[in-house]
Amino acid sequence: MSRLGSRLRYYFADAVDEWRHSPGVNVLATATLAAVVFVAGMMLVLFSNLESHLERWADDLRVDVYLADGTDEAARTELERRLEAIPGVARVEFVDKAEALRRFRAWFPDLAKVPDALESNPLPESLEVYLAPGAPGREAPGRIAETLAGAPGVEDVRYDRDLLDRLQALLTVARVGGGFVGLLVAAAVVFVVASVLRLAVYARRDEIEIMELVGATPGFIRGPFLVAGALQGFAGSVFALGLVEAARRGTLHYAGSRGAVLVTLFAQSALSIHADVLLVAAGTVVGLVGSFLAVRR
Amino acid sequence: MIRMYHVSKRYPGGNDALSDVNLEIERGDFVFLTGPSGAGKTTLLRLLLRQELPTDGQILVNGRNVGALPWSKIPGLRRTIGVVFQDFKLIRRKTALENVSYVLNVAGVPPKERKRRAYEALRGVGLHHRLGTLPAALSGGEQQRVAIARAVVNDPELLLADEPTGNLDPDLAVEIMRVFREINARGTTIVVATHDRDMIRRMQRRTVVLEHGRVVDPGVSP
Repeated sequence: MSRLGSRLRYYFADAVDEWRHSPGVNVLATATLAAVVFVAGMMLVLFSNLESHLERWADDLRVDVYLADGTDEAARTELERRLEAIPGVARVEFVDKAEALRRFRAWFPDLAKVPDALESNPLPESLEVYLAPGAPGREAPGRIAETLAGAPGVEDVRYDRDLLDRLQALLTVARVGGGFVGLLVAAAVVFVVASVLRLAVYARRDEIEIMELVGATPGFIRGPFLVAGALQGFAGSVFALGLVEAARRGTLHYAGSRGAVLVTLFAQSALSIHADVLLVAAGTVVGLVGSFLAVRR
Repeated sequence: MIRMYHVSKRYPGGNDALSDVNLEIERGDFVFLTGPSGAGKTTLLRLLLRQELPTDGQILVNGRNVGALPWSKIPGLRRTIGVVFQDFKLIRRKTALENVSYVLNVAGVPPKERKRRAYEALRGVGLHHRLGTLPAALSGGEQQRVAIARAVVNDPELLLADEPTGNLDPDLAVEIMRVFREINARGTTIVVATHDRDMIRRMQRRTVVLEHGRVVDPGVSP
């Protein structure tokens, strides 16, 4: 075995041995790291779910073109043709007055009898313009607006993209702000963990003095502390991710049974394996840096 | 092996712990440092081990100017010196074997070799049957013998012992001195700080007498 391998093995063995002999400080440091990774993990669950829903909604968006009463078939066909020629338009479907009424009754059963009180069907005919996914679809609404400007037979054009764009902008701000706050929190946590680990160093000051007296280099003395910090970060992160998943499932179960749709929306999907790996790596690094700060003197 | 030229040590706000000490100890010598409490015995050993810096003067240990050593070279100096303390200074969570092999680990000795040499060192002090015992479960004499095994396991050029028998009964003290004599016979220079006059008389070795931080009798080798 190489000298480096032998050293690393000793560092690991000593860190584990120290954990066995002084579990209190080690558990405290691990719990501190776990608490932070738990909060970060919950935030990631929330953001990733919200983001994936917004993306899905964006792909499902369509432009509704309401036709003026009395628009004849030739004019409508011409509109359909022009719309289908626009890049980013996937397809155009015509909804006649009867279909519009049927949908109205299906979506609003409580109001199903209201149209009967009227002499005629008040709902307009419309063209549903479905957009292609991705960039072409996102650019298509502008072109549709240009194409339909002043076109005969067009009563109104509805497009809910603005709302979605605003939500996505909000999400971007939240993500950037969250990242910034996360960095600040991580820095604070490093110092908290360093303070906790300094307790461990203080508890072992006699031992450290002995090590110095028998000729151990500072690096050799610090090694087990650094490994212990990294192990605490790793163990704390793995534990926290378990808690995050348990909390997510618990929330889904609890909210689902009470019909809290919005809550289930935020907790629908678990963290990706990439996010899990990232969080465990981040927790391990925070533990390592915290212990480095604790033993650097 | 050891040269001290006009060495003084003054602690802030205190008296001189050592004052203008000149001392030479040859390679392979066995020397006692004696004197009343506060005479400066422990301070002198701490200076040799570079736990302290002298206020004045020069100290050479095996040709190295100890006071001028950079921090990075201090561990290297200490790896050539074995130390035995009155309070043993064993690592409590490590077994007797682990305490002894720690020194070899620090020196980069491979694990198998570490184990073999640590076992031999403990056998040399008659503790090969207590390898896996933690210090707390050992008697004072046994702990001191573990400390001695740790001090000699890396074949140091110099062994410093500060009141090594201070906590032991007379029979054990004689036993410890027998171990020191054997180590000295193998070529290791030994400096023992003690105020045990009976033991000094029995051992018949060079004795340096300190009083109030000054060498009042440099002694002569027999």
